[in-house]
Amino acid sequence: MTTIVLKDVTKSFKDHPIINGVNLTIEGNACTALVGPSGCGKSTLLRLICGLEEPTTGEIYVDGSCVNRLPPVARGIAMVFQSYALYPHMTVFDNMAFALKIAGCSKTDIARRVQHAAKTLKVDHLLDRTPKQLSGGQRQRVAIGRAIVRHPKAFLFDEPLSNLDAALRLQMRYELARLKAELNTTMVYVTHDQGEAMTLADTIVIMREGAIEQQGTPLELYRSPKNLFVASFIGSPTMNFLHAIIVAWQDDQHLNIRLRSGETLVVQVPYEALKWKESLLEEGSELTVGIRPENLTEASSRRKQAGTHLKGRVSLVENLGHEAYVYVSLPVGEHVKVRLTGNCNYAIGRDISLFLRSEDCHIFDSNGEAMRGLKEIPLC
Amino acid sequence: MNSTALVLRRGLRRLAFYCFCVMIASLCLFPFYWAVVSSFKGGTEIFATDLIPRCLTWQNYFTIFQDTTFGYAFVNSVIVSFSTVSIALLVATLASFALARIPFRGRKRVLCAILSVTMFPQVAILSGMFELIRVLDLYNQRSALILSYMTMTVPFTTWTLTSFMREVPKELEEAAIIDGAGSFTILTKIFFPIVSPALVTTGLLAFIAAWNEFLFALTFTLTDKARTVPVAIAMLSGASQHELPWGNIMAASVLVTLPLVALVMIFQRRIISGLTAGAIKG
Repeated sequence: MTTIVLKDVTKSFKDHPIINGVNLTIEGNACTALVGPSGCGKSTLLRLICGLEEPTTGEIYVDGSCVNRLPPVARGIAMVFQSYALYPHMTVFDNMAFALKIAGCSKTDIARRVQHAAKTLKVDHLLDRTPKQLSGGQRQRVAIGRAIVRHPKAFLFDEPLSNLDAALRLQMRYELARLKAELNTTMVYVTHDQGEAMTLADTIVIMREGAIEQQGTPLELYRSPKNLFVASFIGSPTMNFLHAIIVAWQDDQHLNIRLRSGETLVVQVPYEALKWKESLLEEGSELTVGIRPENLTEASSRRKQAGTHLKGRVSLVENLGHEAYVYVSLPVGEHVKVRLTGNCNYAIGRDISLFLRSEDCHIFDSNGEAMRGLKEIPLC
Repeated sequence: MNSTALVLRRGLRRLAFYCFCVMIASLCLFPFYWAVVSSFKGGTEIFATDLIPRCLTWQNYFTIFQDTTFGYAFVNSVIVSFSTVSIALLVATLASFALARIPFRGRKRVLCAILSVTMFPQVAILSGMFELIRVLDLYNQRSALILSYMTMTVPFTTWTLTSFMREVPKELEEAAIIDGAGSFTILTKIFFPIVSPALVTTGLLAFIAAWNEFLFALTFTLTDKARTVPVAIAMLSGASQHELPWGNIMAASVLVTLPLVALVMIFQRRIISGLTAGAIKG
């Protein structure tokens, strides 16, 4: 049960700030994913935690004690590199045993621990090979094995799957999830793939330009993104954004808004909680409405549904068989992606009417901040 | 143009190309051929200009071993060259690791200084070197040669090894740091094996340079005690003052290249590239 705490951590390289004051608590025995676009500082944060870089200011605590001045090995943290970084001249066994040999473990102890780790990762038949005789997935396993044998307090993964091809990536993702359950240690996982983060992590930390944008469980981030950036980062395909303006407040809970295409809808927004930024809530203020592709449906022609309809024209179809992503251009020059399931074969250029429910809409004010989160889905 | 003319033209062009190749090859190889052939010629035949000799003899090879001079020189050369290469590689490995991997102030300047040292002609440092050797009381000793050869081999090997060390992926070093390795372990357990092909190659080049060196060897030695092969060959004398024993000189020259050939043969399997294959995504 190892908790890692970062307190006001900053890091700059030659006056160039990379991390701008990060406060973060990484819970023990859980997997935390650091996600964000490239250059957002997520890898740097990982290197700060493991000790490959020293923070410019701020403190890092592992299990309550400050590790700022400790070398990596004394922190008891293992790291798996994106490029695997296996020692090319050593066999798989020696690669995995290297850290133990340095630590001065006995030969029998080393053999036992390497064998055990190799069995866990299903590489026990490869122990005599050198890295160049291994496939990408096998190298990845050995790299993880090298971390496991040390029984570290925490594992750090730096984009471990990004070098694998799509099929292997899915398989390794599954195995990492299995491993996570088996090892039951603190894991920090850096990725730019929100899908990996959603499936593997217990907590997701979204970063942008060296600062944390939002932290929460995958579903929290999916249901209640704090701002436009988080909303556009989580979910695949990405959320659609439509321009809108405030028409009027019905009461202190309900807001009438009008989309650019002319449709109106009533959304539930708690006025009281937002009162402090009154100027953004006046009639005529601009808003952004976010709606996920999976929350749009094709309006049924047979029965009339209560809600808002968007009329548009199919401009592109990505048909995956069991579902299709349909790109619809709206008359006002906006575009939306729709995820349609079932038997869907849409001709390009065809008129289509989309149906959206106001409770599925994310509402962002003109600063891009969310005005409400969606309702929690009860655990079933 | 019909097709036969085209084929003919292409054939002619190819013929011209091969003629050109043969010409260049013979220009380059002739001196070596002449040396080998001359070493097998006896008596007055050595002054004949026939391209293909009429009779061959081992006589010259026997003659050079009748005197102990050549044997001594050979032993001296072996000791001097091997010591030079081992010390140079040891120094260069440590220095290049620091220059390639450990950030410190003035790193670039040190590298530039090392490179510029290799640019001086040997003659330029000859007198200074001589003073140094006299002060250290090393004149006419093998260590004088080992020391002076360092001035050529260390900068060269350091410079080459630094570029090889730079090629080693940074992640390997970082992985070793995470595994708890210190700088010395990283050098000996990670870098040393990975750059060993480069070590062999640069070591071989340094060996050849030391083995064939003439100017220092001539200046810093006086007697057979410390003389190396190139000087010994130059000192070979004939029956009279006016006779240059060309046959013996050639035989000795051919003999001293044999160890080099042998070394290259032994190590050529180690001079392979791509030892880092499999370290990082490949």
